[in-house]
Amino acid sequence: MAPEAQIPGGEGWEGPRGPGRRPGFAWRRLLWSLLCPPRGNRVVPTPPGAVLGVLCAGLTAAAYGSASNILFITVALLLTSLVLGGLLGWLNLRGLRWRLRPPRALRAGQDAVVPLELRHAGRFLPVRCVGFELAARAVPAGGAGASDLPARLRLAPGGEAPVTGRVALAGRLDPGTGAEVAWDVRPARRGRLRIELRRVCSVFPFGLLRRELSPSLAVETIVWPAPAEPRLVGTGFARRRPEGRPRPRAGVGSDLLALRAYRPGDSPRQVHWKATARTGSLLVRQPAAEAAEGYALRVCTEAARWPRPEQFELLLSVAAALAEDFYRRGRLQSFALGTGPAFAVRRLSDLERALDCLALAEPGPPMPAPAGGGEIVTFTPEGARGLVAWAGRERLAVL
Amino acid sequence: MSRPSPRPRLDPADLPPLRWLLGGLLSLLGISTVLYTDVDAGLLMPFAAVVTLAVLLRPRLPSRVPRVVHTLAFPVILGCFALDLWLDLELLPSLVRLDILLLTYRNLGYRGRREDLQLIVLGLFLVIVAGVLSVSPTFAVHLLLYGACALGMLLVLTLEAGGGPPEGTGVADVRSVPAWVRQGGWRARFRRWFAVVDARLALLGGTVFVLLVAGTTLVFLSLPRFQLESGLFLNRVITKKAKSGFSDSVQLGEVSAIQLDQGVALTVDVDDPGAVPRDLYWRMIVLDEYVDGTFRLSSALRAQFGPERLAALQPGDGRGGDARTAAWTLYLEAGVGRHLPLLGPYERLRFRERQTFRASAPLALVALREDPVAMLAFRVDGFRPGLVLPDPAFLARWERRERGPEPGAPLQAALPGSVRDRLLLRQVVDELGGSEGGAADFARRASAWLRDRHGYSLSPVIPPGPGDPVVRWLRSREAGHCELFAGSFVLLARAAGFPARMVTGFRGGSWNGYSNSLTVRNSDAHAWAELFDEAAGGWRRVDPLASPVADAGTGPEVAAAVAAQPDRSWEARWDSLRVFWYRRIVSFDQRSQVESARGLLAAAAAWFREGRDAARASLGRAAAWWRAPWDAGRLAVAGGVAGGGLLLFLLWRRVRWDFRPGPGRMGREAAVRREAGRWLGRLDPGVADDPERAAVVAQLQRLRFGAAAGWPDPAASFQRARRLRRPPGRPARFNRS
Repeated sequence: MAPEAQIPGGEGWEGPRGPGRRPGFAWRRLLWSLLCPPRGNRVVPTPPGAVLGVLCAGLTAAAYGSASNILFITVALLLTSLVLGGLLGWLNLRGLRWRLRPPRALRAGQDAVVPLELRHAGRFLPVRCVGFELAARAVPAGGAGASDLPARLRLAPGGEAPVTGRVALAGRLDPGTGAEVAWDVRPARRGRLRIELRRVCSVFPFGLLRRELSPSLAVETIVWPAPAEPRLVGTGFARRRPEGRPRPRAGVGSDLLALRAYRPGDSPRQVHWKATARTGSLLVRQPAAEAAEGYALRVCTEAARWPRPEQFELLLSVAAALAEDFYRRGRLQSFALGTGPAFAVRRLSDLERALDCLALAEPGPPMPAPAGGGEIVTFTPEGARGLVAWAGRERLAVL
Repeated sequence: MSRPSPRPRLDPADLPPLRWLLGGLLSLLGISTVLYTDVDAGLLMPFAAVVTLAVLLRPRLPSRVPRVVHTLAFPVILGCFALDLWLDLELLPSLVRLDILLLTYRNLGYRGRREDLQLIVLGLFLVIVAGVLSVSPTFAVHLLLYGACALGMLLVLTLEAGGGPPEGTGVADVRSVPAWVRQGGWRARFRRWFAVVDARLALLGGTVFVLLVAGTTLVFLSLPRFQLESGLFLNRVITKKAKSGFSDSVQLGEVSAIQLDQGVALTVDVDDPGAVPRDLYWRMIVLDEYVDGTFRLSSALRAQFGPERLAALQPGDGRGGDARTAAWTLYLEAGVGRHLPLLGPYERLRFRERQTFRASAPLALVALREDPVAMLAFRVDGFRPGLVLPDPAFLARWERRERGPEPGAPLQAALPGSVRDRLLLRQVVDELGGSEGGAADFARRASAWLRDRHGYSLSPVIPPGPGDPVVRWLRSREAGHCELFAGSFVLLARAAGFPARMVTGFRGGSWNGYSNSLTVRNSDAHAWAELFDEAAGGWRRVDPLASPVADAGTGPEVAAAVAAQPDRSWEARWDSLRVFWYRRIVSFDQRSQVESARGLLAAAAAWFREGRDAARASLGRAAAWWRAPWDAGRLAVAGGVAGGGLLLFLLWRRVRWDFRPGPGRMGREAAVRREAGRWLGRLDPGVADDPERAAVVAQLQRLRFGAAAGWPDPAASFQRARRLRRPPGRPARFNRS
């Protein structure tokens, strides 16, 4: 059997014996595993297999009752078929490796595809007829994997029944090749989502025994708030600043805004070589945004202001929708959630960070009202169900 | 990135016709088991086979079956079963016929997963029943074929379901025509399957089949053997009609009718061939009562059988004698009769499993309560075959006959009732010289007279007229069969004043040169007579049709005579397989299991000792060779051995034990693709403004990923790529000249 090192990528792959490099073959280990299967590794009879088992038991009783070797032969054949089926089923899964590669973020209420990558590290037999049972469940606040978040963000919706699904490997997977099976999942709520590969099962080859593995593979991802479509009522999307002159800001336009120090990730094409040579430190060009007018999104999560949970969820959805809309128009300057610090939104990763914050937001403590400048967008509830987005004193959007 | 595959892959569309084919084969295998069981399905079996075969070959036929057939099928089948059971009053044959009907019906519609699983179980039931009822070696072949087809069917069902659960309930609409039925014929399907199957898959299938056979054998040998005595099973719910020639009442011609059958009736294993007598007379039943052409077992003789016993062991008459205690294992085929064929008195008789039977020591006979429905194996120790069967009790009564009539059964059975017949018999006896000279002399004279006067024929003609048929034949000069000869002798002996009776059974047998066993066929069925010989103190066997040999001795010279003409025909080959089946499989019990284990251990120990001795001897020779003075020839040999070893090692290292699907016949194509991939990796993709480089990259990409039919010249493409890699100042090699 091929060693683990042959698997390209090598990262996050698991197999029937769990993650990591598979130990070498040893008869002792094999025989012991037949007597005492590893944890999470079991073989159960399918309905036809159960019928065969009952048939086998009846024939065994008849064989002992009548000392008929004809019946003993039949029992031997049936038992051998069962054992042979189990052996081939074990061989079928032996070389299979899998890993989960979910997208970085999903969106609540929308279908998403979670790919499960498969690799066959075996050499001789192809893998066939393998099914995978996956589950997605919300991670409760403070759960595993959430410790790297700020304490106020460790609050996430949870306690709901996990979403489960089954996908199957269509056709065969030849040795040394890979495949991908896709699981369509629709997360119900925003927050952190834990996607687990709960079970790998196969009834190959005869459908008499189902071999089930319970792998420990799980990954976490973020679910952004459900999309909302607020009605834009303000004129601020079209008009320019009343003062007349646009205030330049950083963006992706063609005009030079300033020079700044090089940061990892900057394109080498942006390096200003003359200034770099003159100053002795690596400087890059900072272009100005095409549209000069922008908004700072301030999302107040004060629990007293948003006592109704559904209205709070609406707030986050509308905020996410406006943030994406402003970013597409090049007008999103900065973002702040609750009492957290505001951060500039210059690139897509900044927007994703803002959406991550919205995904994990929870009603928080009282906070001072933000300054009501014209470029600052705030939200207030309207009625029992709606809300209004304000740009200064102007109604920007309503839902 | 998947490698190019040289063969088409198995498509999901290939599986339903394969499943249909396997289902038809399973049905045919199940139905054909009726051929070697005695279940009466004379019309049903051909009908079911024809329907199954027709539907198998023409998958469109089920779509033409009217819907009303499917609506009424199960009620009608159940009604037929109830009627059959009511008429026949036997459960198992009715169940078998019901099973055949259900199998036939399953083939009349398009099957889903559930119907296919039902079909497997229905066919398996037929195979098991046939095996239990017949104990035939054909069962092994049948079971293996059935097992292979059933596992194939299960594999196809699993492949069809893929990794997910079976879709829906698995129940098919029996009339909705699947798409595969409309596409192509069986020839195209077989061509497609052969294209899909490669050597690796065939090897895998063969390996699985070998593993199945080996595993079955191993499990069969390893299953612990003990009998629960719970009293099962199928042979209790079926009765079998035995051959009428070996029953308590035999009419003239019934034994001769059996002789027309060439089938095996009895197979005999003897652990000491020297104990085999020259004249083998297998006595089954003694018939002393005669009325108008029918011999019967009289109530007096019936009373000599002991009470009915349920046991596995029957002791003999306890006399022992000087007979060699050879062990005879007899395999009596089903349908021969409930009376066991025995050569004479014995020391011990042991059945493989307990039987209900009655035994008679003075008659040296054993009768089972029921006709065995399957092969019956039993072992007899210490046979004492001989010309005279001792009967001290009858001798004592015979000697007391002068003192007056005794209560109980008469000593002599009555002659035919007609005075004319008695007078005719008396005339013949007078012609023979009466009872002068004793029983042995009378037997010799009477047998000679009968042989002189009558020929042998299996189709005798009995002259018409009044009176007893045997007497009429006796007075004629017509040829006759063994029953007429034996019956005539019995009547003549009685007319002469000697007690006499008819015996039916088998005479002789052929020595199988392959299995070294005796095979007795139904064509060896025979009838002879036994005459009470006061001087010998027992019943003297008289066979009017046999050559006048004085004694039937035993011993090595006699055994040599028996085995001198071994049967080495094709039939004997098949019979030897049957004997192997009976010896090693059917008779396998706890003792055999222990003996096998001991034999295996002994063989392993012997093999280990031999291997150790051989290794020591080889090492000794090698050491002596090494210590001997070296010369050029020895150095060459040593160098050759070392070089060969090195070559083998290098070959071993060279062989990649990688069975991934390789390029196969498309090796060149795969090599070109690999080479193109290598060149694509070498060329710097950053230089985008070089049209020559772009053109070369495009060619390489076509070679790497495109269809082979549209390839540019690979050699030219690689040469262009090589030129691009060369530094600008360096000329190409072919330009140097």
